[in-house]
Amino acid sequence: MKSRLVILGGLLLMALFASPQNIPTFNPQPFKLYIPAFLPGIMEDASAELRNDTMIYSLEGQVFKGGYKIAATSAPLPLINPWQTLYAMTDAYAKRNKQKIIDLYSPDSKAKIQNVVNGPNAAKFFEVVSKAAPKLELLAGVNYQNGFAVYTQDDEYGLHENYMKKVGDAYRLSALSDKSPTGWNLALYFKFDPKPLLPVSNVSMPDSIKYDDSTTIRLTVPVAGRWVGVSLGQPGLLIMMAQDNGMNDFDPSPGRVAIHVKGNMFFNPGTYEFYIYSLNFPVQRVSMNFIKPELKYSIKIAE
Amino acid sequence: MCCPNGVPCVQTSRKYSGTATWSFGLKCHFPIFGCPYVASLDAVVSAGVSGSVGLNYQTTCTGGKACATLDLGVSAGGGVGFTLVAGLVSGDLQLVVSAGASAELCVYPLPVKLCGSINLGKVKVVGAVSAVWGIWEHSVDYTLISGYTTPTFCKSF
Repeated sequence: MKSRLVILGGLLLMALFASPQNIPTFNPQPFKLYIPAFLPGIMEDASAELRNDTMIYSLEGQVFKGGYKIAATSAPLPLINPWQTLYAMTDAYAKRNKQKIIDLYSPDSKAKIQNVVNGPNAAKFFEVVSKAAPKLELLAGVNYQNGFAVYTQDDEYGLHENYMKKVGDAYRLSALSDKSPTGWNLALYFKFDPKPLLPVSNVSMPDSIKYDDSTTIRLTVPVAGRWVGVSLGQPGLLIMMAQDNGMNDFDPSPGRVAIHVKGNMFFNPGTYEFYIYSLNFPVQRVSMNFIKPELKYSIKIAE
Repeated sequence: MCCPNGVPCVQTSRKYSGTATWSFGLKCHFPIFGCPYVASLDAVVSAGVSGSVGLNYQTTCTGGKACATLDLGVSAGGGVGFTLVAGLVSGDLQLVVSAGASAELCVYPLPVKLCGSINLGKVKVVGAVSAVWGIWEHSVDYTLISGYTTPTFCKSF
């Protein structure tokens, strides 16, 4: 009995040493993801529950809030979970190891990856992946279409998606032709990391402008870099969007936004109620379910 | 005579013929942010009503006005193809716009006025985005603009 315990202890010790400490534990759990239905690019998806213009996905996987820095390891990994495969891939990318990349793919996808790493686009491929690999952060992974979808990002190229399938005991990278909107929508969520719509403050603008004139609306956003939307009460009628220190912002101070608005943006002379709000992602549509009375302003457009 | 209590009054039915030219262009240039794998794409979407309108109708009489409703032709659409991240991400997307327009020509009281509005329906982005030269592909079909109806614009002749 004692010798069995010694052997077991030895095996555990070997397993600890064989498994680099920086690889996160693979522990997929059920969780829900709440995605605004007006996030740019979101596709309609019957697999999500739609409630008050929020899409609710019931998923199983792991999310790393704020990202988990991947430190590639050259130690041989048995690929028994998606994180091991991801780490092995990152190491192969960083070292431009062609054969290791091919070996990581499932048999039915090997031909495709061989075409990439041996074909005319190989130099471009290795240039991008070797630059991205040292800066890669793990955002999440979810069970998806009989496999596992992994979302990572780096600060140069943005979001990346990898798809894996279990082949025998190992998770292998795999090609995916995805007709379902779910993978796309999840990618948008991890790209934008949507936060609640918030009011802006210190709004200054005239009470009235002429139809042919323009004016400047000045305001403060609650967090620097946020996007600002100006919408009429009619749902979907966005008349202006801007980003703090980005597009359509004429105030260089971080947190302060100056938007130029023309009278003819309101179509006809009259008195208009409109809404100003801020989001942490680009405003291309917005749901009136999220527009609260405290966001309301008014202006008279004179003849 | 119709509208006997209206001052001035117009005839119940009066035939007009001729041509009116009216156009309203709605052309937007804006970035598309809705692709997960690239920061943004520049695209042009346009929806417009233009061309000449042949007038050959009989007026109706409402409250001292002589007006006729016209149907106008609408053209709308756009497209964007892109290759980014040194070729790793590429897309073939089409902007699909459903739009409609209606107009009303009032020949009385003067001046002759042509008023109309545009109903810009949903603007959708459809197509496919792929990465690593086809290692993965996503079919794409999403709404860029929910659609709205503009207030009525008028032009006097």
